[in-house]
Amino acid sequence: MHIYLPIAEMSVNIFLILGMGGAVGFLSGLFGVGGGFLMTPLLIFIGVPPPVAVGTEANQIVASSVSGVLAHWRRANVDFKMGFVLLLGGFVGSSLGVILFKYLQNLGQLDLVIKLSYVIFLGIIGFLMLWESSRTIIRSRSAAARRGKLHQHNWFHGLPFKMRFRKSKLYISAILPFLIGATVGVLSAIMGVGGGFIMVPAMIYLLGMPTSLAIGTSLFQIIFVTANVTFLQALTVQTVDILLAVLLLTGAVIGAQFGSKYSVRMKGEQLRALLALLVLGVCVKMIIDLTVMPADLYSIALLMG
Amino acid sequence: MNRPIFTKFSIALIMLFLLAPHAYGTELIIDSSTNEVKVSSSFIGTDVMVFGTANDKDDIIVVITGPTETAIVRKKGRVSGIWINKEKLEFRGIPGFYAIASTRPLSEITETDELKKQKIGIHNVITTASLNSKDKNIKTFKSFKDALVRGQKTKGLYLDMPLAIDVVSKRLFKTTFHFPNNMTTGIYTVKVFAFQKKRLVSMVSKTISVEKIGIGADVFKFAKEQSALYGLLAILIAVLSGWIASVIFRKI
Repeated sequence: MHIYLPIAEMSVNIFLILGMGGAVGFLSGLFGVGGGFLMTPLLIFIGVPPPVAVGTEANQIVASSVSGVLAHWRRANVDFKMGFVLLLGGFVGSSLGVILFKYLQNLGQLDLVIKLSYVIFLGIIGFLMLWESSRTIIRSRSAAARRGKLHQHNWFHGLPFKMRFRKSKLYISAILPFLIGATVGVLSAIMGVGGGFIMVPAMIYLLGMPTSLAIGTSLFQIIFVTANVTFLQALTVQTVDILLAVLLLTGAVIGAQFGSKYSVRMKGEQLRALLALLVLGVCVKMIIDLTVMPADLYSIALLMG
Repeated sequence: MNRPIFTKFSIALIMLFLLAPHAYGTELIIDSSTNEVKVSSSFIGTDVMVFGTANDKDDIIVVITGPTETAIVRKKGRVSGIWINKEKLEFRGIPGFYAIASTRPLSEITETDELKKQKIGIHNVITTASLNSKDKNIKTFKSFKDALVRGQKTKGLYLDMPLAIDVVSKRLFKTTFHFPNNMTTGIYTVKVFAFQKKRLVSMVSKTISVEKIGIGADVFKFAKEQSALYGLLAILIAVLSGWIASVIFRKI
């Protein structure tokens, strides 16, 4: 059964879209990530124009983050004060990102930048996660777990504008979370991702937040950042396809429930190792796309009028 | 899907036979199976038949041209191991859709100069005149134009080789074009040329409008005309769906 997508201006098989939503939703439920980094490349792969894929995926992430954050809120896993600082940065970053997006599109280098961003960020995150999780797996087999320090003191503890984040038990400069929020905001607008896969490790390793709080808080701020991206993309380039977003999120919501049921059966470090492999897989795919000679060296961009 | 086309076709056929004594000579009469293609949310493409009467010695060429667009064609080059877009060429006022059909190969119907003059055949439509003024006379024109035609052809939007035209009886002809699901909306022009002994004797044209209807059309119009409100609505729908999902699945 086909359905015509009004903004993407193409007809797609409705079950293909629901299935993609379901599969990515399953993985996001399993690993506790938004799944934008998988969905956006998949959408581009089935022929959705990249700007529409990015704009629509931002819209879908709003929905999955809302349902995710509600679950974390019930378990009191959201640091609203930290979330607020992050999201101030996120607003600035994502607004800059949308402007950059349009500029790169005019320049004809948008696809390149999208793919390079994927390679760089997925490569780094995937490698770090794989390293960390395999170390944990090995250590848990060899010796009893040691209790480390809550967090280490680094150069950034000397920065001004110190704020107390009671929930996270932190007393740090507001500049750092603001910068993290801004960086992820830019990526969110360009890559069509929520950015949880960068935000969560940054909050854990750079800020020293507890993992559960980091996930809940990042979801909280992702809602606002992706909502901002959705709004700005809809306003400036009209690339948000509501119909596509609704189909995707229907599949994703159902898939995520099954995914999270499976995730309780697995160990945290095993899950992280699997996620790392998945992230590296997408990264390798992008590297191949960039380095193998394309079948057609020419590409066409059509504009109305 | 085909029945209304053929009903209309047979009615038109009878009409044309009644008109035939008057149509005899150089008069060319044409019509199409539809005047409006409606792109609804279940649209997967459609066939459009163009038919008419002509002098029995005429050679016929039918051309359908879609609304004009600007195309930017980019060529990738290798920079330190990575394939990136390097050169680009901008084509202005090119058709978003181009289909052609003829009774015989174009070169047998008329001279190359005449085809150029009448802009028959995609390679006579997209010329150096389509280029941005600062890019004129560029050496790479041909390879970029070929890439453009190739790309559009793969998407089903261009025909570079003419389809066949059925000559039903001595004076009656018909041909069927496929309108793919990714075509742009707007006014499409059908032009029918009649040639005799390599000379153009008659040309008639008509239009077919392609428009979005139903919920898809409303969404498209809403997104373009009230972008801010559309963006807010998109966010609202997402927030509500996320909330509903969380409520439903908490209870299960």
